[in-house]
Amino acid sequence: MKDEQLMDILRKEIEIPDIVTEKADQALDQIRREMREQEPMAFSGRRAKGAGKKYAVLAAVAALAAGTVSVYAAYSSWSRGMQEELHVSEEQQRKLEENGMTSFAASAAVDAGVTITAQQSITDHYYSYLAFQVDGYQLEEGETPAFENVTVTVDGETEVSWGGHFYDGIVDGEEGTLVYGDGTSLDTDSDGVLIPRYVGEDGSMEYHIVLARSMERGFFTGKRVQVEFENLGTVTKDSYQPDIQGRWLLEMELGGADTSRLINTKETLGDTDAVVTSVELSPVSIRVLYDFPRKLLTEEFEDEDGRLQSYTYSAEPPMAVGVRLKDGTCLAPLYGGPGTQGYLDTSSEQYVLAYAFAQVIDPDQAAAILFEKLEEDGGTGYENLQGDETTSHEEPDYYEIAVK
Amino acid sequence: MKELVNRAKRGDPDAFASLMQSQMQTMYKTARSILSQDADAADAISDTILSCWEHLGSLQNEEYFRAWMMRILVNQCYAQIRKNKRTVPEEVIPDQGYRDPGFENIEWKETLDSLPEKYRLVMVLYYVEGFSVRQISQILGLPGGTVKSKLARGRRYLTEAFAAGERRSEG
Repeated sequence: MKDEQLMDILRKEIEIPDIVTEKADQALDQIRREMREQEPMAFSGRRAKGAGKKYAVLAAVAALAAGTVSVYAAYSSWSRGMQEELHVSEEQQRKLEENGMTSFAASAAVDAGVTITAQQSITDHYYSYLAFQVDGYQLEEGETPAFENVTVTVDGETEVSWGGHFYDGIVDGEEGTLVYGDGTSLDTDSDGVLIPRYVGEDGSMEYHIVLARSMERGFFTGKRVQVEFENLGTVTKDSYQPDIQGRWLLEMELGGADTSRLINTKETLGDTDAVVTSVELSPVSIRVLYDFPRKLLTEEFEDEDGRLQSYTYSAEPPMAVGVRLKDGTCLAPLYGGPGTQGYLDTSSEQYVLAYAFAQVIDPDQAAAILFEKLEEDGGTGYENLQGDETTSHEEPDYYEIAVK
Repeated sequence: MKELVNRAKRGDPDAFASLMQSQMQTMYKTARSILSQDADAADAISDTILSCWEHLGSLQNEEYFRAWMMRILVNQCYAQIRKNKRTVPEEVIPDQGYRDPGFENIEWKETLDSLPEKYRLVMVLYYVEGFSVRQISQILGLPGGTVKSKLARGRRYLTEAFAAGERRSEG
C-alpha cells in the first residue's frame, strides 16, 4: 500500500465505538445536570484524577537490600548500538576516546537472572549519551522490551531532562533510507510491519539514554550518574506488560571535553528577521543563539463546517537542521533529540535552539551550518506526503552560515 | 465553530456539547493513536470533555480552541497510560455491555497500527487531522524541529516498509 492510500484510509470517517460515545455522553450529561443545579464548578475534584507521582529515588543501599548484586565488569569496548545508531566511524571513536568525551564504565548489576552493564557515555557541554547492555532476558519475537520505571540522578539531582529507549537495530542509512545497523535492508512481517532487531547476535539488548541540560554549559562534565532500572517486561502500544520483577542500580562517571566549535556571527538568514549570533557545534549536538524579534502571525484554515477560520501563533526563526561538510556532503536533518527551543526569558528577544544529534559528526569538517527555509505553509518540503514520490530524497534549499 | 466556542464560554452546555461532538472523530482518532484500547480512549475523551468545560474560561482566543483541546486530550491519554501502569490487571475481563464497532473500523485500526509507533501520533495529527507543524508543536509541547524530524522519519519508515513489502512479494 502506498503512503497516500494509507493516509486516505486514516482520513475516512469511522464509526465511533459505543463505549466512547456513551462515556462522552455521560460527561456531557454531567455538565448539563450540574449547570441545571447551578453548580457550574461542582464537577471539579469529583472525577478520578490520575495521580502520577514519580517514584522516589532509591539509594544504592535500598537497591542492594532489594536483592540487586553489583559487580564489576571489564568493559572497555564500544557499545554496538551506540556505534551503529550514531554512525561512529573508527576514526571518530579514536578521537572521542582521546579527547575524553567518551568514558567507559565498569559496573554491572544482577537481579532476577538479568544482568545490566553500564557500558559507556559520550558527553559534551549540554548532552550525554549513555549505553547499557542487558543480558539474560528472553525477548519473544515481535515483542518490544521495556522497563517499568527508570530513574536518572546526576550528582544527586533528579531534575534532569532525559529520554531513553531500547535500541531497535534500525538506523538511518544513506540517501535518507532506513536500514539495519549492519547496513542490510529492513525486513517486514506478514502484516507489512518492519521487524526490529532488539536482540544482538550475542543475545544481548541495549538501552540508550540521552541526558539534556541545554541551559547550563558543562553541567555533565565529570559528573557521576546513577541510573536505576525497575522491572523488565514488554510494552504494547500503551501499556506495560510485566514479566520480571527486579531492580538494577548502575553508576557511571561521565567524561566530557571542550571539543565544540564556537562560531560568533551577526548574519541575517535570508529575508527573515532572524539574526544568528552564535553557533556552538560539537560532535554530538548543536546550540544556536538568534536575535529574533517577537511577532505574532495569523494563518487561515477551514474548519469542519467548511468555514474559513484564522489561527494566530508566534513566529519562529529558521531551524538549524544540519551541516554541510567540506567535501560537499550534506548531513541533514541531524536532529536526534532531546532538544529545546524558545526565548531565553519572557522579555528577551534572544532565541535559543539546542538539540542532540542523531549521529556523530566531525565539527572540524563542517563548512557550513544549514538552516531550513520555511515554505509558505510552514513546512520545509521534505516532509511533504502529497503522493509525490520524489520529494523524500530531494535536498531542500537551505540558508547557510559558513563555519570559519 | 467560533460561535459555538463563544456560546460555550458563556456557559451554554448545549453549545459545548455540539462543539465536542463535532470534534469526536478527531478526538477518537488521536486518542487511538496513543492508546490501544477503546475503553481507555473513552476514558481519556470523557476526561477531556470535563476538563475542557472546566477550563474553557481560560481560553483567551477562540481560534486556538482545536489545538487547546487537543493538548488537553493528549495529556489525558498519557495520564491514562500512567494510570494503567500503576494498576496492571492480572486478568482482563472485557466489558460485556458494549457492541463491537464491527468490521468498519478494522481496516482503519490495522492501517493505524502499521504506522511506526514512534511517529504515529505526529503523523496522524499532521497528515490525517491537518494540523500544521506549529500547531502540533504546541499540542505536544515539542520543538518544531522535533515534529518535522518525526514526520520525515515516519515518512521514511513507511517508504522502507513499502519497499521491503515489495521485495517480499517479489521473492
